[in-house]
Amino acid sequence: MFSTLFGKYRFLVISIALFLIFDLGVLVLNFYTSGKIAEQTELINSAARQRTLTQQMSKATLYIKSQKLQLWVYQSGLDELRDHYRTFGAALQAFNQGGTIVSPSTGLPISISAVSDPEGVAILSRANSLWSEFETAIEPLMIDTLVSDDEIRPASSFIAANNLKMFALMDELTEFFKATSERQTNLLRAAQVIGITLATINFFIILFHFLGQLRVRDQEIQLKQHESDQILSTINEGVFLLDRNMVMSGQHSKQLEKIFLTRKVSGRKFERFLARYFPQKTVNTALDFAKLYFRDHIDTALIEDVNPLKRVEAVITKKGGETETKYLDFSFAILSQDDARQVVLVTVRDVSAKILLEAQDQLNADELEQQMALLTQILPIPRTDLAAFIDDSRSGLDRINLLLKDTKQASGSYEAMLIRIARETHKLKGNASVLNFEMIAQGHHLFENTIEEISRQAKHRTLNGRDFLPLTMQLKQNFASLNLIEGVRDKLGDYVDTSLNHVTRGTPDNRLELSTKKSLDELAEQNPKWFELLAYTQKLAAQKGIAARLNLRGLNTPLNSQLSSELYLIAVQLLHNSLAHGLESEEQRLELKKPSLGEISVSISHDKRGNYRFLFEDDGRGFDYERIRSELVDRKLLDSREAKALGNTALVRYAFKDAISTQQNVDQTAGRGVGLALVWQQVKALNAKLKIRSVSNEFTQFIIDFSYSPSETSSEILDPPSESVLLAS
Amino acid sequence: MSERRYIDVFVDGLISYFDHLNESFGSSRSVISSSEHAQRSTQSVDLELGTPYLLKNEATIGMDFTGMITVSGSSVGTVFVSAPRALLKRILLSYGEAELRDELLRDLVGEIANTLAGNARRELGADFHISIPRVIQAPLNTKDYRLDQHCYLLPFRWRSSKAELIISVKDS
Amino acid sequence: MKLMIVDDSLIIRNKINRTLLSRFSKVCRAENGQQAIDMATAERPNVVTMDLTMPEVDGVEAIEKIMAIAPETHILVISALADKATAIKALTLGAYGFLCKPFTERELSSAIERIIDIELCK
Repeated sequence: MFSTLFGKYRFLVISIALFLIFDLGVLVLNFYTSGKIAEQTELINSAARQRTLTQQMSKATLYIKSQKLQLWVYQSGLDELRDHYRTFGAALQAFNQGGTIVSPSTGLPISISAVSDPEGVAILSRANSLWSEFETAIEPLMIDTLVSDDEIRPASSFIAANNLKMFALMDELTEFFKATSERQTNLLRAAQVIGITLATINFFIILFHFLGQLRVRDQEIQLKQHESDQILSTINEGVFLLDRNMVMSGQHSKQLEKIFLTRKVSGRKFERFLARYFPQKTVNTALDFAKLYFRDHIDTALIEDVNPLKRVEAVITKKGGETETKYLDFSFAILSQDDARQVVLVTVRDVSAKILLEAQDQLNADELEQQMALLTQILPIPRTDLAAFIDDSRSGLDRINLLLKDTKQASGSYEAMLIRIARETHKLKGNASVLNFEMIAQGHHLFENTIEEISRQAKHRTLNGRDFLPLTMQLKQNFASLNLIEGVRDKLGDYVDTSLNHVTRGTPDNRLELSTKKSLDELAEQNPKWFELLAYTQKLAAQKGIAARLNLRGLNTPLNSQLSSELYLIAVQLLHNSLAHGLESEEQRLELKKPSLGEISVSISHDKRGNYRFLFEDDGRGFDYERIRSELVDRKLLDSREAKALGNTALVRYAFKDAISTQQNVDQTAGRGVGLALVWQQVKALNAKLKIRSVSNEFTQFIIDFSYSPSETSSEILDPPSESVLLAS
Repeated sequence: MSERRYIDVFVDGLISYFDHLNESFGSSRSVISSSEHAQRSTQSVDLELGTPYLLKNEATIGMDFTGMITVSGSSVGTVFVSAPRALLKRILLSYGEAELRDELLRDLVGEIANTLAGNARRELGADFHISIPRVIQAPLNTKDYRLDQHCYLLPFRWRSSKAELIISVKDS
Repeated sequence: MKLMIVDDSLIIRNKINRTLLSRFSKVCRAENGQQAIDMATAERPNVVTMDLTMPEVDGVEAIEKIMAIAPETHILVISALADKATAIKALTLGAYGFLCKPFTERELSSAIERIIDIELCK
C-alpha cells in the first residue's frame, strides 16, 4: 500500500517524515527541558531564598532579643521571624517531598517535585537534621505574642551558632540546583544540536538527492531534445506528427521544410497544409485516410493499400512564384506517447529522383542515337556483305535460342549446352569484329561474359533454369541490335552500295608497300570478306598497342563460298590469337632485334586436284607452353608435377581442345580460350590435318591440310584422324 | 523498371504459388529438414524451372488453359501462365477436389494467374495497374496480343507436368 | 465462429472459401449486397469478407447496413483498387481492413488471422 501509494516518491516521503520527526523531537525536548529549566530556576531561587531566610531569621531573632532586652516592642520582629520560619519550613518540606511553594520571583504558588538526586538528597538530609534543631529552638517562639527570655535566649544563641551552617547548606543546595540546571541546559543544547543536525543532514540529503535526480532528468530531457533535434535535422525524410484533431503538432524534420519549401509546419491544420500542394479531392481523401488511424476498429496494418498519398504529384511553389513538381510518398504510423495520447507519425519521402531514374531506365536505349552510331558502322560495309552478315547472325542467334529451348533439365546437359552456345557466340563475335560492328560485337561479348558467369556458378552449385535468364535477356538484346541494323539498312536503301563502296576500297599507303594496287583490287573484287581482314588487323593491332601487317596470298581468285567461310572463321580466330598472344609490342620486338612491324601471313593454295593447304603464320613469340602449363595447374585440371611431365604436343592438344587462354585479361577479341577450340572444331569439320610449328621468339605456324571438292559437303560425322595434331620442333 | 526485375517478380510469384501448394496440402512434407528448407528458399521442391528462351512474334502458344494478366503503368506487359489439363488436374487433386470439371480447371488457372498478379502488385507497387486475370481456353497466337517482338518463354515442370510462363514487357 | 463471404465472382468465393474453411465452424456466401444484408441479419457472422463493386446493393451500402444491425461484426474489404476514396469510405463506415485484389492465400490468411486473434481474446 505504502509503496503503491507513493510509488517513486517513497524516498521523498520518508525523508520528509524523518525531517519532521527530528524537528518535532527537538521541539518536544525543548518544551520538556525548558519546563524543567523553569522549575529548576524556581528551585534555585527558592534555595537562594532559603539562604536569605536563614539570615533573616537570624537577624529577626537578634532583633527580638535586643528589643526585648530594652523592653521595646519586638512584635514586628516576631512576625517577621514567624513568617520566615514558615516559609523556610514549607520550602524545605517541598524540596523533601514535593508540593506547592510561593514563587520567590512572581509570588504565585508553584508546584515542585521532590528532589531525587542523591547529592541533593544528601544536602537536604543534612539540612533537615539541622532544621529540626532550628525547629526545636524556634518552636517556643511561635506560640503566642509574648516571648520570654527563656524562649528567646536559647533560640537566639542557637541561631547565632548555626545560622552560618544553615546558610552554607542552603548555599550548597543553591549551587546543587544551579549545577543541575546547567546540566539540563547542556542536555537540551546537545539534544537541540543533535536534532537540528540530523534534520539539517536530512534536509541536505533530500536536497542533494532530488537535485541529483532533477539534474539527471534535466540532462535526459536535454539529451532527448538534442537527440530528436539531431535526428530531425539530419533525417533524410520529411517527418512530422499529426494529432487526433488533424493538426500538425510539435517537432518536425528539417527535410520536411526542404521538401515543401516552407517553414510553416508546426501547429498547422493538416488539411490547409495539404491544400497548398494537392488538389482538393486528394486532400479530402487523404484526410479521411489519416483519420482512420485514430479509429479503434481499424487494423492499421491492413489499410496501407488504400493510402492515397503514395507517389502523389505535389505542385510546390518556389519563392519567385515558380512551381516545381515533386513526387512524394507519405507513410503513416500510429504512435502512443508517454501520456497515452495517440499521434500519427507521418513520413514524407521525395521519390522524384527515383521516378525520373525509372523513366530514364526506360529511355536508356535512345534509338535515334543508336541509329546514328550504327550508321557510321554500317556505311562502310558492302550491301551484300551486310545482308549476309545479318542473315548469318540471325540464324546464329536462332540456333542459340534453339539450344536454350531444347535443353533437358539436367546439369550435364546444361554444361554441354553452354559449350555449344559459347562456340556459336564466338563465331558471331568474330564476324561482327571483322565487319567492325562494335555494337554487335559488344553484345556478343556481354553474352560471353554471361556464359562465363553461369559456368562459374555451375562449379559451386546445381544450376536451374532460372540461372539462364540473364543469358536469354542478353540474347534478346542481341536480336534487338540486329533488328536495329536491319532497320537502318532498310532506311538507307541502295545508298550504301552506290555511294560509299569506293571509300571502303580506299587503300591506305601501308598496304601498298606489300601488295600491288592491282592485287588488292583483285582481292577486294574476288573475296571482299577477306579484304576486310586487312583493315581489321590494323584496327585490332592499334587497339592492342602493337604494329602488325596482314599479308594475304592465294585469294586473288574466287574461292568456293562455303570453303571461303569455313577457312575465314579459322583465319579470324587465328588472327585474334596472333594479335593477342603471338605478336610482341614494338619495344619488345626491337629488343629481340626483330623488325618493329609484326607480320602475319595467310595463304591458301591447292594442287587443282582438291588438296588444299591453309597456312597461317606470324613472327611473334611462339607458342607459350609455360603459360598453358600454369593455366592447367591454376584451373586445377592438373597438378604441377603432371603439367611438367606433359610434352609440347599434349599441351597444344589441351590448348585446342579445352578452353584455355593464355591471355590474362578478357576483352572482345581474346582471352577466353574459345578461339582455338573453335579452330579445332572447324578443322574437324573439314576433316583436315592440323600441324603446328613454333620456335620460341621466332614464329608460330599453323598448317591445315585437307581435301575439298565443291560438291562434297564437309561431314561432321567423321572423327578427325587422331594424328591431326602434329608438332614440329 | 528493369526487365530483369519484372521477370523476377513473376517467377518469384510462380515459385511462391507452388511453394504454398506444397505447404498447405503436401501432408508428406509437413516435416521439413533444415537442409531441405535451405534448398526451398531458392527453388520450390517440386517445381523445376527450365531454361528460358525467346518466343518470336506470331508464334502460336499456349496449352489447354491459359491465364492472362496485363500490367500497365510505366511499363506495359502481358503475362501468360499456360498449363495443360494434366497439370491443373494434379493441382486440383492436391487441393483435395474430387471433381475435375473444365470449369474448375479454368478457375484454377485463373487463380494461379491471380497469385502472380498479387505478387506483382505487392512487389511493383501501386504505380502499376494489374488486371484481374482473364482465362483463355484455346491455343493463342501472340500476334493477337500486341506483345513485344521477342517475349520470354519460361518453361517449368511441377510433378513431371510441363507448363509455361510467358512474359512480354514493353515500355509504355 | 462464422464467416460470410460476399463477392459476385464464383472464383473468388471459391478461393476465399478454400483458404479460410478450416478456420471457421460455418461459412455462408452471398453474391451481392442485399443477400449479404439478409444473411448477416439471419446468421450473425463474426467475420465478413466484402467485395465493393457488386450488382444491386454495393459493398459500401452493405457495410453500413450490416454495421447498423450487428456492430460487433468484423468486415474485411476485399476489392480491386479502382477507387481509393470508396475503399476509405468503407473503412470509415466500420470495415477493419482492406485487402487488394488480386491477393494471395497467404495475404488473405494473415488478414483474417489477426481478427480471429482479437475475437478469441474477447
